Amino acid sequence: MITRGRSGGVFLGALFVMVAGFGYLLAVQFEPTVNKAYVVPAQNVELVEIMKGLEAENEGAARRIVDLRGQLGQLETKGAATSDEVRVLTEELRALRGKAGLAEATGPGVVVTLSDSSRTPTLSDDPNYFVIHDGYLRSIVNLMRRYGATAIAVNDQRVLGNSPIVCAGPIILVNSSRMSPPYIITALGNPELLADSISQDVFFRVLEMYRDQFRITCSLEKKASVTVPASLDNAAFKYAEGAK
Amino acid sequence: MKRTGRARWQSTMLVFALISFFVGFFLPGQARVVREMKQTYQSQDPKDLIRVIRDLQQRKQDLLVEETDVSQKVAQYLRSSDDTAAQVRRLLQEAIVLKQRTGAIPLAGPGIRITIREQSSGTSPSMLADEDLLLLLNDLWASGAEVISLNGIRLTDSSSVYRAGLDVRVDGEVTQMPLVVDAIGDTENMYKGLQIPGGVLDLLNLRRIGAIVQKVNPLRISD
Repeated sequence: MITRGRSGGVFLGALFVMVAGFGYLLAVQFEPTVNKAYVVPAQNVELVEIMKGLEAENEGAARRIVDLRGQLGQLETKGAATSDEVRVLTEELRALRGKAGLAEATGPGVVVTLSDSSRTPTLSDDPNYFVIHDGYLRSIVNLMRRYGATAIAVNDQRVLGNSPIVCAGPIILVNSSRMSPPYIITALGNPELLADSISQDVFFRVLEMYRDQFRITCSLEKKASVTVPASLDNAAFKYAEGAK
Repeated sequence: MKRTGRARWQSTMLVFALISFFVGFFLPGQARVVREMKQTYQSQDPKDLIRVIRDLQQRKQDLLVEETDVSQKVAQYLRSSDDTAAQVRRLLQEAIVLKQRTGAIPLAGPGIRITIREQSSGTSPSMLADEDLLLLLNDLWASGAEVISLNGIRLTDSSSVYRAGLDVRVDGEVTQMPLVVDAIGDTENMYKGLQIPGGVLDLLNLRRIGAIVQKVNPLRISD
């Protein structure tokens, strides 16, 4: 009876600790949901609808631009057959469009993939280490250029010299277009040189440390062939003019 | 008495096992729900969503400009398919635009000049980091800069910018502090963009890096 009472007490104690532990875990798990459910402002539903509507419109416009550029290319090819002068100018224009990032580019290169952590941070973690920030993308793009990349894209967006990479809270925007993780940064260039140089850079090593410690995704692959889409921006400047 | 005690013990164990099972069963599901909520954007700060919407509206305008431009070129081609002189004119005109874009032609226009000075004296000298410089350039592009040069070196699509000791390297060219950043573009928007509280100028100021912003018209950036 004494034994039963003592073991029963130990069991009840253990049961209490376990149930309290589960309760705590459940509270931690439910807390973000409950809080977010309360703070979700009513206008968010409307804002998300507007956002998705604009994205659909922009996707439509992007498709039309690609089609129109295709038509223009065909017309230029036909026109080039009419005279040597037009042919030479058309070839020069195509080279310039390529240099300005207005044409799709394919060749050997590298792909860097970054994504937020698959692990939910605990209360003692700093959540900043678990997400990919816009600054990471800027630094990787800058590294790629430093080691000879000739064309770069983040997901489906061509990144030119003047392409802003910004964030609005946790949302990253490239060319004013919302990006969703994983962030796939593709660069054309010498795969050996790019991969070796990027992997040895301090910034990339820090990201690898975050990968090991906080389980973000950070990988670098050499590729025999990658394709970078054309920029859909208009080449003409509004403010800058040719100077004498 | 003994049997009743054992039965109670067994039922307690059964209840405990059931609780453990359900807790174990629901926890991963809950974690998934939390992750999915984060991805739906319904739970984002409305200010962030408004910022995204503004950017998407700007993108819509930019795409419309390009769509209109290319469709006009297609229409011109169709109208003057037999007119070689008209084709040559159009090709030359576009070539000039592209040469301006790729840095082959010097440019001029309204803009701003930012002069950045580090504090090299004292016990803890301040130093402009790569990230500061990338953030400054990014903020300028985002607020309407069309062309930028650093100490007279024009940035192109393949330009990288980084510190190498006390030097600043731009496209493999070496330059030193103080750094003069010239940006041609939407002057008012760039100026406002830089003055945003908590923006890049505040960041530089907190780190005791001086930045003087001036509006200049016309500003000239060489090829």
